[in-house]
Amino acid sequence: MKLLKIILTVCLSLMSFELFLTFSPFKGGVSPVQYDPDIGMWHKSNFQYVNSNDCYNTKYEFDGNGLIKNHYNFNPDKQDVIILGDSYIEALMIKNKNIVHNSLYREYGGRLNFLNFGLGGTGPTQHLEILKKFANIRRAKYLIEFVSLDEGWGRDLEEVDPREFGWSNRPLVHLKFSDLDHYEIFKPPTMNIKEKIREFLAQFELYGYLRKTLKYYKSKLSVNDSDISKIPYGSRDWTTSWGQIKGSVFQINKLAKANHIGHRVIVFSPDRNHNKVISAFLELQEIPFVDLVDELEKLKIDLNSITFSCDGHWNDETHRLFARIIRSKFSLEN
Amino acid sequence: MLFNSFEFILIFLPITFLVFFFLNHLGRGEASRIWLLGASLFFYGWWEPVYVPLILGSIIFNFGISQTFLKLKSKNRFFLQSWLVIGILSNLALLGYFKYADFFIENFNWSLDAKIELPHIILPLAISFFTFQQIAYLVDSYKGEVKESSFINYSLFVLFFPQLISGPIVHHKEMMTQFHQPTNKRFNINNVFSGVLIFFIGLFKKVVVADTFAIWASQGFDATETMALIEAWIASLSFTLQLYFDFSGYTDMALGVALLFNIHLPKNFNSPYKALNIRDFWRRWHMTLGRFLKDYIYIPLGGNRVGSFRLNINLITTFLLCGLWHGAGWIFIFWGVLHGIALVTYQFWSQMNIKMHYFFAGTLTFLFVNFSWVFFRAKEWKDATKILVGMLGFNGIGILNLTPIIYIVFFLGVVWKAKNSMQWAEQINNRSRAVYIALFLGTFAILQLNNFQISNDNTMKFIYFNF
Repeated sequence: MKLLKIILTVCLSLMSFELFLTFSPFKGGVSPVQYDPDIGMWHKSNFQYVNSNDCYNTKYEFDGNGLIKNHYNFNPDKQDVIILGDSYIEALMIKNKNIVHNSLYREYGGRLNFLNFGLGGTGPTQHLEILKKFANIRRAKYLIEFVSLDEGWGRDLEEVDPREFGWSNRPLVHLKFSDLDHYEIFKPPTMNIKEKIREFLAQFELYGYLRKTLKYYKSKLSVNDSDISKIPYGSRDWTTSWGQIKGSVFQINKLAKANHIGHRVIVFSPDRNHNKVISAFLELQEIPFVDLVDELEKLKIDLNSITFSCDGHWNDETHRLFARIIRSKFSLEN
Repeated sequence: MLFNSFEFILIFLPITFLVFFFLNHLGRGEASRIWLLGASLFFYGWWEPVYVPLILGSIIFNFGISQTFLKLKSKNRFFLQSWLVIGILSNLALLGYFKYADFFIENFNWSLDAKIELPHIILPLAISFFTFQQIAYLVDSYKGEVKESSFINYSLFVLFFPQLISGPIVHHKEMMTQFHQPTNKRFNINNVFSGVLIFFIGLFKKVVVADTFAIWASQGFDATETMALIEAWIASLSFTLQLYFDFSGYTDMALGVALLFNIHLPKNFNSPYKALNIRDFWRRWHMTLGRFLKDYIYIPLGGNRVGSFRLNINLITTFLLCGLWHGAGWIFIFWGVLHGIALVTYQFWSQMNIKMHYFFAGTLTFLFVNFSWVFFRAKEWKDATKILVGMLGFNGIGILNLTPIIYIVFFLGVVWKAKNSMQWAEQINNRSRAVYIALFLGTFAILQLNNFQISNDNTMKFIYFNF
């Protein structure tokens, strides 16, 4: 009986702590995504929470379709611009009004609806499936796709097959391209009990708190995670990765052409060798593109100044800057 | 070392506790006191070992003077008085050098247009507390009220780690008799239960309540340029609650830890925000400091045995010094003088014999205290002005931020209506109830303590550590 009372007391304390974390400035975050049978995961609809780190504490919000909320009123009489990208575009750490789609809306004078389909942990291969599943292609006039090609900056070259990471909190759909026109879709595995439990627990602050605690004490004990990025830079064979990226961009372009949508690619490639490969491909396919690193060099802006100090993601000013650069490069006529 | 740190809770305290009672169990009372003394020095040195010789030097010096009083009591009064003056001035000089050097030089430079470089001396931890405690001891010793001939005992009186850093400011007679009582050398399970319960109440008050309010107070005082009405009130009330829960949390932890060693430290708080007037407030807030100011400043100045004009001057002088004790700056002096003036005003009011309804009396007292804390918290005059201008609504109403408002309303209810931790702990005479409450609060507080650790790799310091 005493043991039961002790267990109940501890449980009551844990529940109170969960409530405290949820309704206090110490919000750490709960999972903003849920399982999706086609992509692996997608944003929860009509969800809002706070993303906290040492250098930001930002409220983020998704709309009824799980898109990053607009800071303008969606006008059904105007055509849409679909934006695809990873966590840099999803931008849960950026004030909503500054996120690239809202900045672009302002830059283009509100002539088009800019819709943000960004999702953390995705690359071009997942973007194709996101586009097919969630976007209303018939309403779209343009499609802007962000491709990041360097370690530490989005790492799309590494991330073509998320299953390699063995992370369950990533979108697990995978496309395997044999050539630009032929590919096989590997659907995400159905959720097993462990994943279901994990998804349930991830709705609570305590889960994130526990993960953070484990990570902290593991790092204190210097236990290294086996991470794919630990492979020495330059020694990697990127052949498959390029195949996947080129194939996905090609297929997205094909889909865009079929629907009379203007396809634009925004490349972020601090590694100039990667830049050459993707530039040559995009030129060959006649897909208009802009390399943001080129543009930053022209503006003499240091790459280290465009991210948060506590987090490698682009900061608010960078989102606004990139919107201005895109505006200066593409007119996106109505 | 901080009470709200894992190294204290998980390592230092259990080891000190177990070895202390083990030595007592073996009948080694002297060894147990030496052990406690060594542990206290380690506790103090953990922060900055370089200041250990300073505190030891201060102890040796004051003990030496007290021994002079003890041995030369038959000598002429002038000789003893001279030693007392030397003792007090030396203590004040030490405090003056470490705490007020920058302040004095700054003012000297300003008034004479001089350019003497500021030394920027790091304030040794607890110097205000151990200096006051030892001045009180010297005075009591001069009066023949204390007769301590053991250096170990005297050192333990100053260094006993639960009260070393931020009080309560204890009298020798309150402490040392307890160390000598044979029953206190034995492990007392009731004291352990009560001690753990009070410690966890204090830890909860500090890491869960005070440190939450600290965020909203800091956002207002430090991070915002101009403040609207709602934001300014959130900032000022957050600090008012932060300060109370921080300092009373610290005191609870000190009392709880001391109780584990069968030592009863004096109470330092008695629901101060329930005060119905400013005198009542000072009888409830930092009670041992109030006692010190009364016994060693206000009464020697003449107290209330003098005419009403002198009495008022005495009150203002005492609180001016109280402000200066809290911090080396004009803003602290102003805060002290504000309280002195409030006490003088209260003196007039009570002479007029007009009764105020307790609700209005309590509200007025609280609003004044809240107003004065703005100066206590502000780093510069402009910060205080910014908050006060906002509180008066000169910058508009502002945006309703519900979370801090809900916390403020709830915890104002707690400080106004609920029993304080001491009353609460005294009432829990059922041991198993104490265990469950301690378990609940302890689990919660340790989870939050860990939250600070994993988020900032740090723990939040207590406000009174600055003094």
